[in-house]
Amino acid sequence: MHISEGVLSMPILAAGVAVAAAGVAVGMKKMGGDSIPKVAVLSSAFFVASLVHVPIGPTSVHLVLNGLLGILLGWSAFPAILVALFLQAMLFQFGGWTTLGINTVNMALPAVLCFYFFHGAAEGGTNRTAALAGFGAGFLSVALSGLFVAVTLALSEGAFLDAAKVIFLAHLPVMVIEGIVTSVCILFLRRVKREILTAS
Amino acid sequence: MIDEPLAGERKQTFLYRLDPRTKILGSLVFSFSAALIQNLPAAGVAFLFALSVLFLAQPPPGRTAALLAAANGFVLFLWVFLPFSVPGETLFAVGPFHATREGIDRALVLTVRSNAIFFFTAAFVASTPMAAIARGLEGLGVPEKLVSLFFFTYRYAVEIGKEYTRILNAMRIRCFRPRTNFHTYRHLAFLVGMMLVNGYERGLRVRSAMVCRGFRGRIPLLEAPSVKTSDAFALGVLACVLVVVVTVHG
Repeated sequence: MHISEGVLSMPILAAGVAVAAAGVAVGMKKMGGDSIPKVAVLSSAFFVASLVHVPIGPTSVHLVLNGLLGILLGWSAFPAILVALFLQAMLFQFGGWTTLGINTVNMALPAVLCFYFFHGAAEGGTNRTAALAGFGAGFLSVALSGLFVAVTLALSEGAFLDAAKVIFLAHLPVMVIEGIVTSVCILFLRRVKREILTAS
Repeated sequence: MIDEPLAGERKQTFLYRLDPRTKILGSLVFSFSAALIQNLPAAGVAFLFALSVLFLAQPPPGRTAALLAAANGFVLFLWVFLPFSVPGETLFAVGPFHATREGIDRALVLTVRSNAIFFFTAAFVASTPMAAIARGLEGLGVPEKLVSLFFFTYRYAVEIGKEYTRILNAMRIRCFRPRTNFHTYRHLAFLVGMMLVNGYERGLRVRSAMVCRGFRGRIPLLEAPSVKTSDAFALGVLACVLVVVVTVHG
């Protein structure tokens, strides 16, 4: 999911920084000083989720949860994801300064789209529509992130095209798992603590 | 579960005593410059410099090696494709795929420059506590709100990480064994949900406690960082190295 340092070309990195800066600016504007702790909780949960390993056949993948984050935070997903990725870079050396922008865009843009597509159904409506919205959000956010990562690689250097295709295909099983997990998680939150869904 | 893996006992090295702003600026400039490198000699110079800076920082060797190895996962993945994807003189063939000299050169440059950045960043992180990073970012003009968000996120990540371990242990005691089935995914989703609910409530409590103690949206600095001659010296050395890299690069 992460593109590591020193791989991408400068125009792509610069474009990533520009789009991320714009997204974070919008997110910060929509986020009152009061909501910092809430956004921080969710962005740290997003960070911890990347440590949760889910078995799939002989191997395992880690959760991404950017769809869930998008539904809960809307545009604030941009600063939340930026901060979580920065923390990952600082603590685990996954990513770093140059790829922070592009990696943020690749994960936060799908999250914001999921907010517009699925937030209404996840918050209101029946449990059935909420479950479907959750599945849609988990599935779509990972699909889009995978697509963005692949496109970023392919645009950066023609020689990355084969690797990009494989990366996108590797996201397919993750999409289904994220769909299931996000769906169950939305239903859980509706039952246990609905205000997390409505507070954004 | 979540600590600062590279911190060790935070030896009082030369790098440790530098102003955080110097270190952030330095690692930013170095990372972006190294990402631009297109040939092997220049990448080599950058790599050797990063390696010596890492030695200066004296991070705990075992954990650093493990993290750097993990960081190379993506680079390793690209090695599977890159030698076969660049057209040029064929060196050897695996079935229908031809590895080219040009492809291997590209992969080599990429690996060396990536590792130069990994090493330099590792040195930066190993010599700078999280609080100093937050302070440095603020000093460099990153909006206060974003810095507070970063600091809170770090603080909560530690708590939520504990929460995660606690719930997972409770599940294990009740014979939860992760497998590839709906049962596993469903219960991991409950785990995430519970982590969110507990984290959210804890976040609100922490916030109330802070407001009681006069919190108004920003975390004040206890000591004002100051730029010393050693900072100018460090940035000077970095500038010289970058000039050498550019010269070698041609």
